[in-house]
Amino acid sequence: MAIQTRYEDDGQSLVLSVQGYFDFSLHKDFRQAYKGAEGVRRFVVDLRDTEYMDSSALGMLLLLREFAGDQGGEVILRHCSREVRKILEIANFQRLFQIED
Amino acid sequence: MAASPEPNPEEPDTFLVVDDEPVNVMLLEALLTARGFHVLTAASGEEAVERFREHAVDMVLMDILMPGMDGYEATRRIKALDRGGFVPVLFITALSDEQRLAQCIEAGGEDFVTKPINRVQLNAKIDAWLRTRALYRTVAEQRDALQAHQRRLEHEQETAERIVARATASPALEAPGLRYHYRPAAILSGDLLLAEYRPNGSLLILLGDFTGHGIGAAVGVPGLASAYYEAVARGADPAELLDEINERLYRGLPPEVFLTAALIEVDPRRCRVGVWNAGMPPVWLIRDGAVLCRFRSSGLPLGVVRDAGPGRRQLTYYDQPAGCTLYACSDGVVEATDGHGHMYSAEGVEAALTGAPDEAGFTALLERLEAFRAAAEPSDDTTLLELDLDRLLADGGRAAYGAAEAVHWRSEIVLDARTLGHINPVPAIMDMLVALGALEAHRQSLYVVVAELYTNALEHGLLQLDSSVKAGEAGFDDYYERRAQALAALEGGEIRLRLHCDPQGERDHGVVIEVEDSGEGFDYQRLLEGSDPAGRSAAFGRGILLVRSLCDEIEYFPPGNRVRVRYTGGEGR
Repeated sequence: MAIQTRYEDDGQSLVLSVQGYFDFSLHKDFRQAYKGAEGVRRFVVDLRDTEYMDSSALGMLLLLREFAGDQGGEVILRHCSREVRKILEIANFQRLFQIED
Repeated sequence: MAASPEPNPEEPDTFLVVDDEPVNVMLLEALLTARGFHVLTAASGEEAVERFREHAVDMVLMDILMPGMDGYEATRRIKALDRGGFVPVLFITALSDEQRLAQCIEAGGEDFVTKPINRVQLNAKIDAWLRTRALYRTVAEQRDALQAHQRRLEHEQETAERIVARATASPALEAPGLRYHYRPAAILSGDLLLAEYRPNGSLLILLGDFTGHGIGAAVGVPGLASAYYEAVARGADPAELLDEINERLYRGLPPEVFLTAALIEVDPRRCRVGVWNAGMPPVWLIRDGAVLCRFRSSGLPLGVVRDAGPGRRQLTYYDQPAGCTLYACSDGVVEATDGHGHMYSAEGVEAALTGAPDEAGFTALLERLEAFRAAAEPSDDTTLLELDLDRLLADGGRAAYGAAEAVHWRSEIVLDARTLGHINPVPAIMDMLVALGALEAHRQSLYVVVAELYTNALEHGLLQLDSSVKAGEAGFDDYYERRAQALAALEGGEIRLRLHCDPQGERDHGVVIEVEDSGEGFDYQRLLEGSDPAGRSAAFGRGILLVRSLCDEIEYFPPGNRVRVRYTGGEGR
């Protein structure tokens, strides 16, 4: 499975780890991974094992942000490599997401 | 000669009473039986040896003077039969001649009791010797357990050593111009020496030292080695590699275990050598007996803190190191001590290296170190590395492979309608770019460029999909649903991807990517004029924005079905 999920902080945080290529082929799996998450305040997308991401991944992150916003939660992008950070900054995502090393 | 049968500790102790006088035998037997012991008897020396051979005996009461084999001889034979079990022999004797009594002990007996037998004295001696015997057996059991444990440990260490040796082995360590000396203080070493070529032909060498030595230090080695070789072969650049190792060690090891390390890059393409040093002795660059450069420790050891921030672990480079030799060592060399507790020191190492004629520094240092240590055994793992830079830079280790990044290549991939429905060519193109060493530090950015251009050609050029459908979650699904349908229904058309890589070309450097589809084209002027077509938070329209930001040049050709970009890895626009 290219996306793995786990809860942290007594179920307050949901961590979504994306492995390999983060592209449109994951769009169903990615949504499936957070749909129905109740009472989650923080959605953490862990990009440590993400090899590449493209603009459709950015689109999916925005959909997650929308979902999180509806629940009063936030989205954190964790373990962004230098290169991924550059992509996120070009898209100005640092204004929309909390980006962690 | 068979050993006597093993006694059973649950049973009462068994005594062998030896006397040719039946009255004496009866007397002793009665006395022992009354105390609950089990008693065997023998009327002669020969019979005693026979009984002892047949039964497990805990103690022997032995008469001295008997017809045939006497008590001394019987005792010698019994002791010879008893293999380490310790069966005390008490002589029961009427003799008072001290010479004779001494003979009892010489024959292997433990003690003697004089006739006529005093019951209290006999019981006391029996108890004392049974206690001694129990003590002996406990010690013997512990000794056996310890020996077995020691043997198992040695076996396990040897297995571990073979695992470590296989994990760290690399043909690159045999590159002409590279010499090393490696001497672990224990079977297993915490020192680590890894060498591998990057796809662009650079040789990356990691000389490291895990805290401690022996098993605890060596246990981190195989995992680190495989991660290292994988990352270097994949084309990770040195700073990225160090970040990766740091993260891996930080996560995988207990806090007190970390790795001091020096990473050395020999880069034939740019004719330079780079060093990053964290907690290791200086790395010396030496020419004609003079130190040109000391690369001193400047960073935190790996695995201590989590800090993946960019630029923290940069190598320091020295350009055009013609005629130079580079030396690196583990602290086992500089901290080697002589018999008086004096340390060899970095100054000592430097003096040995600069004092020696060219190309003799390695041998000179090892000889001096040996003389300095004299008889003292090394207390820490010792590793010394020498790089003859002229040789390493000259042939690049493996010219055919190593020159990949300098090679000017171009490639065209043509995908027809049937193929487009089945494969996504982007991963294969990325593999090719990485394997050919094109701007490997920029893999992610190149990926975005290739993926976006390809996606645009396919989804908009050929399939004529409208991105604005993507707005909202349902739209996103809907869009990809339509994409799948359109792709399945696609009957004609093709996409051509042209890649052109020339890292060193004057006018034409970088990676040029051209994508052409057989569609109708689109109004690219509008796209180029608009700065931000769909707003920051829309779910679409971001791809081409990324391409424009990442690439140095972007050019569309009428009627808008062909686009060409140049990526150089600079900051772009």
